[in-house]
Amino acid sequence: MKLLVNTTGLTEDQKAIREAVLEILEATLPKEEIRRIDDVKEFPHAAYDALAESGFLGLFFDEEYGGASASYKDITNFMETLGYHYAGIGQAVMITSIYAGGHVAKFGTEELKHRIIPGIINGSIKMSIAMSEPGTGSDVAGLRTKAVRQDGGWVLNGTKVWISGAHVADYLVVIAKTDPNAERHQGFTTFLVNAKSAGVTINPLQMLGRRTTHANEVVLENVFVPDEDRIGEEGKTWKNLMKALGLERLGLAAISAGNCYRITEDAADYAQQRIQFDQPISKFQVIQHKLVDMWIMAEQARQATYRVAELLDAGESAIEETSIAKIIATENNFKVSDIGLQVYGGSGYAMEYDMQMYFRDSRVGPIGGGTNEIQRNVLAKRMGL
Amino acid sequence: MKIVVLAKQVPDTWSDRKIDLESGLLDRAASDPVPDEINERALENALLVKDSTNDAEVVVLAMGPEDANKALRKLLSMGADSAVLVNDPALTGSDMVQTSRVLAAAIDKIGNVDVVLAGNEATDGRGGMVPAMVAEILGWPVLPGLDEVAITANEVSGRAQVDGGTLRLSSACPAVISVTEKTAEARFPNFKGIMAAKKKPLETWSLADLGIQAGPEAASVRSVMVSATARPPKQAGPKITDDGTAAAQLADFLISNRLV
Repeated sequence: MKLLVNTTGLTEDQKAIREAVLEILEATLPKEEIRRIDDVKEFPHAAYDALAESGFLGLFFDEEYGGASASYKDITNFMETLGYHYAGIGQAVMITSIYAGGHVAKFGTEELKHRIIPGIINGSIKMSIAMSEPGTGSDVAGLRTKAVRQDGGWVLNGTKVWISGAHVADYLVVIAKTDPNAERHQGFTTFLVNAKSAGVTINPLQMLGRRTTHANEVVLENVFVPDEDRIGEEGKTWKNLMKALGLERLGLAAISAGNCYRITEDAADYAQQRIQFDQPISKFQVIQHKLVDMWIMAEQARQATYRVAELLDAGESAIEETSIAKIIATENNFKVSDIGLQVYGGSGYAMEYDMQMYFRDSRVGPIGGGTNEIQRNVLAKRMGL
Repeated sequence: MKIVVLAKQVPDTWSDRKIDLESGLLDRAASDPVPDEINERALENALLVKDSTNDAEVVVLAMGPEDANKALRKLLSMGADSAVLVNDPALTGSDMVQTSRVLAAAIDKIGNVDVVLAGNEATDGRGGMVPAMVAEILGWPVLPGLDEVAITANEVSGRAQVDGGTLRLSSACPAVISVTEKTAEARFPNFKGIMAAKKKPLETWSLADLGIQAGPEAASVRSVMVSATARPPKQAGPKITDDGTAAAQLADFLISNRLV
């Protein structure tokens, strides 16, 4: 099979990381295993543990906590590689290390960082971020989960939904309103909740795709959280959420960009095997153009994503570019899977081929991590509209 | 204890490997070069010794083109301490005798080597003779094709599968061992190893550094490539129509082609 990812421009270390990660994933998460865990909705434990054991989860964290203080480009390369192999392993890593772990790493106390981060790096601690609620999706500021002060800590009550990976999490990073009288975007505080705490109930939800890191409902009933497990200052979470968005969206874009390449390569491979009218369908210009369009979209997603990494590494906030990359990469990911499904024809619609999984898995991209409509709102605002 | 692991860069097994029909040499541009997987198993056996003792040093040795450095860096990232690449324009197209002479000279130059570990055969040439030839030139015993390996400070031993039985072999050090794909599963490359690999010594030696000559006059025996021809196109296999004897015909086909 012709591999389409051009690694020119990556450092020798980044290329070595890409090759090592793919070697680990091919051994611990081969295609047959991906199909199996997708079917039974099982978290990719073996691959996740192997990545942790080999030290790659340290990329996201500072050296003083056992990490590698990696650059944004290093992280992009890693996440793109995961997404290239299987979007679900990218998602699995991102949920703990970027979404939830990022809050501990950026805003936690030193004690909390030393207590939690080494566990994330060695794979013994998995986490999940619990933000959305039944009445709160894009309107994050409208969330209603409450945290009320009690001796030595806080008591949380509320219901969270669409909480990816909560079913395997050891800790939940929960956003709750601590000041009911504060203005809409104020009075929120972040808490580290032990997922085994009394009062925490996690109910798996049936989802169209990304089944191996599926969403859950998380119900919090009088859950006590000690003071030392508060993340960041009381009432300052909104500001922190905004600060964490860059890396979150970069991670999402990188997984999608990598996944675009996998889908394109699979479709090109299939088109070269599939015989119609006495020749491989890849010989028909109409199919060639579809495959080329897929490749263009993959490359477009990749370039937009690496551009964000470059800007973030240069110290820029890259707010517009991050939203743009998230839109391009996630929408291209779904478009590529849609065209790929058409190239496969009836086989693409059949469960025995992977294309239907790519189609299902990629559909969440424009919805999660801040819908693409919200991203466009951000951009419209930046345009002064 | 010093262990030398022999390594080789080979064309990617999954790609279309080609011979240049004019020179008879491997067409290196036709496929991606990768470290041979069997080297990683050989290295794993050495690393297991290193893990269990504090004084084991593992040196990876290869003869090959300049870009074979990449294969060596990977082995360094897996835990080898240093690497040596023998690279010289005069070595292009070396046969097994010349390769073995060069590797033996390099082992000699590395010095104080207790054990040489190698894969039983490379995935490109598949000659499977180099480990024994290196041992012969060094005057050391060879323990070929081991499925299981045990290495202690003074002795090497292991088990090899042969037709109709199992051989148990042992020898005092120094010795050469070749291992099969049944030996230790190679560990995954790890992040810290990749970062550390670039700081580890990787030397390139020429024939002059080794003090030996290459070419037809340098060895008493050599293999000569007379001609190279393209692989003939695949022929369609026999088609069996079931007239009630299909099972017998299939069985005859498998037996006559020694497929069972």
